[in-house]
Amino acid sequence: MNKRFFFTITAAIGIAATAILGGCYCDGCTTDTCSEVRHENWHLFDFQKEKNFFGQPKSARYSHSSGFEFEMKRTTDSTYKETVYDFCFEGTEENRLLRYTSTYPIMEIDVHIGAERYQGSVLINFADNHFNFWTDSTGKIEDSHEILDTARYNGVLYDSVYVIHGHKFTTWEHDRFEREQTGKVPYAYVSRTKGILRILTSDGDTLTLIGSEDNHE
Amino acid sequence: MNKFILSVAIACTFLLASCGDFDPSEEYVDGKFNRFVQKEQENSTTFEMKDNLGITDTYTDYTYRHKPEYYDYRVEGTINNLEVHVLIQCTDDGGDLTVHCGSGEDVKIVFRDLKGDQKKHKDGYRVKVLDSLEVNGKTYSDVLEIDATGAKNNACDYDKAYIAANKGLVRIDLQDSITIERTSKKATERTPID
Repeated sequence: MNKRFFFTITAAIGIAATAILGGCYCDGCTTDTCSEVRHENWHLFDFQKEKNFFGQPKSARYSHSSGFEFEMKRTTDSTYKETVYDFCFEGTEENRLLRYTSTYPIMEIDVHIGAERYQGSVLINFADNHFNFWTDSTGKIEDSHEILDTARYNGVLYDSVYVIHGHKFTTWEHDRFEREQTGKVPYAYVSRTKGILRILTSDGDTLTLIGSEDNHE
Repeated sequence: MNKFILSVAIACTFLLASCGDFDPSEEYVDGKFNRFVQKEQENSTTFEMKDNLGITDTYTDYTYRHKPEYYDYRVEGTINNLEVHVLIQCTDDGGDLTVHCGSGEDVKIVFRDLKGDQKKHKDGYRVKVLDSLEVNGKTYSDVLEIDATGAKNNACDYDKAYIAANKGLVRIDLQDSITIERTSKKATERTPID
């Protein structure tokens, strides 16, 4: 290995690094300069602070398609702030987390509630299945979701049931296996006043509400 | 220039062989824990477990091991939000066994200087290699028992978990009264895409 070879290698690494960094710069960023950074702090809307947000209860009993029933109890109700950065923008977003857990079988449903300037967001997580929808500042769910006029679950009739399409993320499974997965599209059925009525998971399992204990106090 | 090449060569040597040259005839993990690193393997299987309440659940595992010094096994349920993850790695002192626990946050319980058939952690956790264990009428050999019943603050989802060296998870005990056992239903296996 002589000096010329060494310098050739160094130059090649330098060019490659420049290309990689430059590619990222052009793809995800911008060369525009920001003359003024806008600051905003978003807070939860009043309806998002309600104790029984969207009718989410203190505890709820569900049936599982495998033939057993279980109790989901609200074990967390907390608000927290996240910093949001965007081009010429910096702000904070107030969020709320409602967590429901079942002692056995060990299960967890997380309801993440977020707010932006004009709209609210809801993200429901259950066993790697994720369901996301937006609302306006009063809690009206965006029109893009299918609405069932009525639906009957475990003998109870519900009005205006929103059908939310979800997707699945695996948390730890190796990428090389992930590509082979063939899960179904998961769905959540949500009522504006009774919360989560039903979840169909990508594994084919179904959770269906039997009854709930309201959070009005 | 020669110093540069020498430095790179030394760095590469350390990176590629932190426990030595991995002579397959040598032992890099001591005691009965060595039984878990006697195979080259990378695969994922899906199998059935049933608890004493009658609930059947599907579990998916992932195994990666390299003879004679590395074993990584992870498994999780579908209905049950349960995860068991154990890692055995070579060291200069007989190897380390790490049990990963904690829902959401990764709590690592590290058993160092492996030898004999069992180790106790300062926080009260224990691991032990059983020669055999009978589950659902079937006898599994070389079974790792992870025992969290003596832990001061149990970070694991379970009280005890049992992993057979050549089969994976065979039993979980939790909440004092629940036992989940592997059924005899044949597991489906997936191999990695190259």
